[in-house]
Amino acid sequence: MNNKEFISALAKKTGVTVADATANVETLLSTIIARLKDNDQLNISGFGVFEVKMRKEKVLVNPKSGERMLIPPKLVPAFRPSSKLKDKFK
Amino acid sequence: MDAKLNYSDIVALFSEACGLSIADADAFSTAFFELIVEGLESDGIVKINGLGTFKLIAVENRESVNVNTGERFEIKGHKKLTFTPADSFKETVNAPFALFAPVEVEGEIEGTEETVAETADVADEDISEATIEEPAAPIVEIEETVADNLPDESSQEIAVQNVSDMESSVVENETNAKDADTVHPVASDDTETESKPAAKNKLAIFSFAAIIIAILSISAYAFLVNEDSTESDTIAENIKVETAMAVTDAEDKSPESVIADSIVSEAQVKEQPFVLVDTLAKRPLAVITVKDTVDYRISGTVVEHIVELEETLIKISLKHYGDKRLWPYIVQYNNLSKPNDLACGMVLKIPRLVPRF
Repeated sequence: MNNKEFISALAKKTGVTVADATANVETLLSTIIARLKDNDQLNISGFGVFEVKMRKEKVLVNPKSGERMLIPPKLVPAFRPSSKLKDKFK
Repeated sequence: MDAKLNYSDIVALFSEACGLSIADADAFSTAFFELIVEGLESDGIVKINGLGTFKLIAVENRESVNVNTGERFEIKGHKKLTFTPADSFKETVNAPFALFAPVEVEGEIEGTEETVAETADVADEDISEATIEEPAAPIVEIEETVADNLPDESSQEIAVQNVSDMESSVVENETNAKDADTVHPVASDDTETESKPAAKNKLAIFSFAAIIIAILSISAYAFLVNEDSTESDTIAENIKVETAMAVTDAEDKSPESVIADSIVSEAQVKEQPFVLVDTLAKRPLAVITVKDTVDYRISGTVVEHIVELEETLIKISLKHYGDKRLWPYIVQYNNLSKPNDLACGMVLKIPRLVPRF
């Protein structure tokens, strides 16, 4: 299911136009992302948890050339499905 | 910052942002998340622009062990839900660290090459020992100067060991030694010394000098052995694996001991005779006469060894030579390119080792 199908299905389900649905989804996502940017954790019961994880800096070695790269630390968005959701797909 | 928000918090923020009532916002958000689940159920993959991709991935059957009972059981294959964030999402979240870029670093970094170094160290251990002792190469020169002392020493060695059966001339020497402030384990009667003829005095002085040299050299040797033993027990064990044959011992010792003569202080010399007798008595009989593991030549095959399960080169070496440090000879003799990878059932030729001296 791609984005287009998802939006149209969502519009159908909620009874709004596709344009409205698109706008709403954008707002919802920007809300979520804005919160995550502030390092918050979003717990959506029955679905899962959106959070930000920090990957520490590390040294990688190119096995061919032998050069060492220091990879800087970074923040990565992560999603943990709730156990209910996990069991559903099991 | 660092807050934990739940679903209602998100709905409140969402309704604020888009101007919907809370009830409408709740209905829309619920539909949004429900639809993701539905989409996953039907297609197994849901892509949402600006957020990312939810995808179901099949996990195969695998075996596992119950940590409590040790029982093996199978984890059934299932589907796992994964989420891959969209690039824009990742960039937004990583904004605080965006200015960092990968940098090439120079030189060694701790902890990266340890695993490689470890295996190399094990192999180098014996070689490094050898290189430590190799500076004793000038032995050749020293040996010439010592050459005169050699026969004396060997005879003295025997003399010290068989002290109880000694004849009167040696007893004389010992009493002389006592006069010279060197404590000797066996002291004898002073009365006997007076009755001896003057002709024997020359011999007595000569053998007394020889005893002193022998004691010095042996104590120096014992001193070295003690030093070694503090370094590591295993080396000490291996050093003990020498023949009890005094003659060969003396030959082995002479070059080292003369070098160390200058190091050993008088006080230690006084203490040594007691130590000496002890170390000689404790020394077990063994095939190996050389204490250094590099001093062997390979001459022919002793036996063929079939590698058993969970056998290592060290174990094989211990079994055939009684010394776990001699495994490099097996590697060398069999041209093993990967000494760490012994195959079960492999046939190894065990070389016959002959001391170089």
